[in-house]
Amino acid sequence: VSDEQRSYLYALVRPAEITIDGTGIDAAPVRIVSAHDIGAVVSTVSADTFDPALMEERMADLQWVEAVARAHDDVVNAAARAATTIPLRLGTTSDNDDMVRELITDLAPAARRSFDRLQGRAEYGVQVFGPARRPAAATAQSEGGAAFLRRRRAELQQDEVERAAVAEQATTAFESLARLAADSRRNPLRDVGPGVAGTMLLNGAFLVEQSAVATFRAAVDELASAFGAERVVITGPWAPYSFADLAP
Amino acid sequence: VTNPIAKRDATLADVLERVLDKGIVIAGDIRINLLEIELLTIRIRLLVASVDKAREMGIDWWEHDPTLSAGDRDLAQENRQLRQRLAELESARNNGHEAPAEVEREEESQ
Repeated sequence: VSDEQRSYLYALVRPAEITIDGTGIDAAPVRIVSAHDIGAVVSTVSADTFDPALMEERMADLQWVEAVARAHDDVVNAAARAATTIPLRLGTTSDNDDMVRELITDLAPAARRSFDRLQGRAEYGVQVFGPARRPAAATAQSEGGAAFLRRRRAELQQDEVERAAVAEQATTAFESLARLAADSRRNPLRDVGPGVAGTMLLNGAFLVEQSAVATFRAAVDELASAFGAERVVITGPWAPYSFADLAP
Repeated sequence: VTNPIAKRDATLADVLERVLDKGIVIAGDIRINLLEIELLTIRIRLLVASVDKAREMGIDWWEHDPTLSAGDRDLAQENRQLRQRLAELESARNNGHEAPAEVEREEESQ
């Protein structure tokens, strides 16, 4: 175990003159390191916390991953409530605050373009779920293995047809929500665990103007009544994870 | 104005999707160390696929997966019998050959 410390970066913010009250990863206090009009949301971490040699083992420990991921996200979201925010990827560290200031200076032109685009907007997630795979009916004692598999395959094919129909509706839903948003993305679908919540058919991210949030939420409510309330999930507001960029 | 850091009730899967998959990568900068998590996130993805639901229900979801458990068949028992039968067939057929690495095959099919 070394005593070496590093600066962990959560996000870039504009304006830099904000205070964030609380602690981040490893319960370290959060501070703002600034250069010009841009701030970096930072806390001090032990170099060991993100030691590359220990990472494989750490990432296999879901409790550790959850603690770090939630701490990162909680800080990023506190920043997003206070300023326009560019969230950084989990695990971004720098040698020290001077390095962070140099970095901000270099990134400033790209960051300002991104801030201009993100200002006054927040990210919302909308997920639509289709029917879950239906359970296999109990087999009669007399039903042979081959007969069971044939019947099971037919059932699953029928499920597939039904899911495809709902998937098409989900695409239409995405397009209608996208029209209410400043920007939108379809993120990869996640397997949510078979047989529990159904199949994920849409994993949309939307960048929504503050003034359009009420309209956007109302449109999601409408979808919920069309698809069934348990089929539509809205999350957010999030910091604009899916929409920030630092393209030169 | 102070801005308290509040705990949020987002699902772990939603949080991980954003902090591991999204969020800006400051690439190729000597002043920045970015965790090399690309490969590791694959494992995480497999984990989060079901962890939230499993926790919500306080159970191991696979025990209750209707696609895996049909009626009151004892799947584990049936599985054991099938494995045993397979092992017998394999050792009878391919005496002297090494059995294929089961773990690797399972990972590929994920």
